[in-house]
Amino acid sequence: MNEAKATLSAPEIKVKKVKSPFELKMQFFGLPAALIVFGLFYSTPVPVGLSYAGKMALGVFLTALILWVTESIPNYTVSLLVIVALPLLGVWEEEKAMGVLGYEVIWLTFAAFIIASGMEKSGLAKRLALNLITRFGKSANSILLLLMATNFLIAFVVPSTTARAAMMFPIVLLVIEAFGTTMNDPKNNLGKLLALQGIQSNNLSTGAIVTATSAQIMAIGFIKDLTGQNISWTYWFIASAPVTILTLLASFFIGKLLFKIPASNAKINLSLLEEERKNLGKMSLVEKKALVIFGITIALWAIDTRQIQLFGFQLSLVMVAILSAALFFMPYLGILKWKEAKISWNLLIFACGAYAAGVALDETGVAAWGLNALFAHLGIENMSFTVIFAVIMLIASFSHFIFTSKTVRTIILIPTIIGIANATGINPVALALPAAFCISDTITLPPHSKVNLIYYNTGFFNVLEQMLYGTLVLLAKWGLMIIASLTWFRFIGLV
Amino acid sequence: MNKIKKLSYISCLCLFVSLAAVQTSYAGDAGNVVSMEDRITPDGQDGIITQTINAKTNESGEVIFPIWKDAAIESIKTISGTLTAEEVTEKTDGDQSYYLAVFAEKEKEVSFQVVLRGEGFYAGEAADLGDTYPGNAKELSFKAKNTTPISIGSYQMKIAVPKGKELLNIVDYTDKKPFTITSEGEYTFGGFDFGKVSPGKESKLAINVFDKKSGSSVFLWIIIILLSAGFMYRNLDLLKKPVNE
Repeated sequence: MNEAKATLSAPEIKVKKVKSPFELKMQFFGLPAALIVFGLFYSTPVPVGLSYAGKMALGVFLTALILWVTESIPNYTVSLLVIVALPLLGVWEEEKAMGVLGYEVIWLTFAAFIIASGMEKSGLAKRLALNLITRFGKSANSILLLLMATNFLIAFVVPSTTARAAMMFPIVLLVIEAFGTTMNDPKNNLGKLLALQGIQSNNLSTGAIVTATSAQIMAIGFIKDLTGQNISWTYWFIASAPVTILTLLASFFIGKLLFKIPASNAKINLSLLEEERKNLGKMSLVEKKALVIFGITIALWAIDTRQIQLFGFQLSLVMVAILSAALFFMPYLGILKWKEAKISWNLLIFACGAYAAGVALDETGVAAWGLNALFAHLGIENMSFTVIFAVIMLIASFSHFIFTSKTVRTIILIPTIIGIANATGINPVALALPAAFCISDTITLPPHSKVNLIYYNTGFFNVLEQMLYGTLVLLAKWGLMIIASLTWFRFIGLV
Repeated sequence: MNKIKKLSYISCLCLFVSLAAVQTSYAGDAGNVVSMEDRITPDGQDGIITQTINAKTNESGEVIFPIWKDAAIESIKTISGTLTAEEVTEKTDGDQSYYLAVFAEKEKEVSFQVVLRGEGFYAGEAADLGDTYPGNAKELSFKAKNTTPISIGSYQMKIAVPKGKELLNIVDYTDKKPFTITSEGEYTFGGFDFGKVSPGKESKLAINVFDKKSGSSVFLWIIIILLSAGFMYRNLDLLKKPVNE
């Protein structure tokens, strides 16, 4: 109990990742492997159908990918080298490579960091979560469902999976304590479920709200750049939310089947959480200011294309985010000072390099060349839409086994899928957007996201349990996506 | 005075109508260029443009095709059909100039090949790649303006990469304007399908080529080996014990 209190009072949760022997080997061999791949691309003749720029775009991308996956050198260093390599090898002009820093996706990510900092400082999300649980959590089942709902709701206001995990983690610990479950209890399935569903509801809820993680914003950026079609915040939500809610319900029932809760855990003592809620006191001025700024931000995002009818102007998704960031910094009205904003410049630079490498692949015709070769091999043009959809969603959902970074996965998958759709005569958005709903399906292994690592630190579950539970839930989501492609997605005109 | 004015107006009108009729006559009855392909290959510093034209002759057996400003005809031969003269003639109507070939076949499909020489084409110009770029890159570009009063049904252009050079890229074309890179015989070609080309429209294709220095691969592999060995030597501890990040 004391441990739980101590965790609650801690302002931040720091996760230290201990690398497995396999990961250390990857780190050791990563740089030599990447350099050898680059050397091979540089030395070998250009394949028929590809330009030298195309060949080297692929070489730079694969070299960078090996370095990003193996973490031999920091990811931002790799990205900086990518920005230099692209013009030096004639892949992309200098102006274009450097221009990525001005792309809207980079500005959005930058603004999202400021918004997340404001939310974290205000404590508003924590108050919201505590209020929900103390008012509505009456039994083990209701508290599990409520935590799912809470994760879903705070995804609207906190555009970072890690920040949300950091907010929810102490509350989950408190709930575990409230149910009288300890790690040494062999029947600690409630603890397992609370921790594992914390991971799943955090990551899966992300898929419903485009602004809940920057990789999804990057995905709609790709869709806009490559197909010319704008995906609004509302359209993403309408399309994805039903699948997300059903997947969360599937997660609830699959979890209960896998890890049965003993009857002794049926009663709950909410006094700890109630105490924590009372300690928050009345809503502070800082929280009220944050609430107003978030209210404006969410309202503008939600009414997106109707802004012009209501106000006579139109602010894009990125401009709303920048306006929100400006409001947070505004003297008297805002709550943040520049030094308090936790802006991950390393992540922004990483995103620039990753985006530049991905776009260069497309611009030099590599994607089309590769896909043509793939189509010739697979005969995918003869497949029906449903089969192509099913294959692509399976790849999109389970690709996190290979590419742990949501950003890297987005860069690889979305342009490729748009290429497949174009080549097969399918509306590219009908494949690319549902695939983007699967970007955050990182629920199978602890290293797949910081969220997983945070909850893994509870010690209530092992790797195998997470993998089994995560795989079953993702298969359920895959089934739901296929059903949605035949029903809901058709109804809203997505496919 | 009024009579003279009236006569002047009428004569001007007649002249205008008759000129317009001549123009219309060529536009409507000058045969039909179904498809046209230009393949540019090197001959020293010059470019040899091998032009393959598939056309349908008019009722007089005529076919007209555009004049390229930067190239002159060297020879012409038929693939199908019979030319009545060994040379084509150059025709001018107002600001439009074009070649006229006359075939024995009337209102029939014919096919022929024209060879043109573009002097100094392969000398190229310095490639515009910004301030950071691979060495010795140059741009080879060719402009083809449809100088005839008729549309060309389909037009393709291909530029061969000179031996000893690499095709760096095809300028200004992306996945949204898909280019083609093909290997035909001893050359690699960068090309583009311009589709239907209206009268007066200009089609431009440019490719960047460059010299890859012969020793650069060896130099790169030496650096790779040294860097890899140095990195592995400095990180041997990664194979021994777990490390906290």
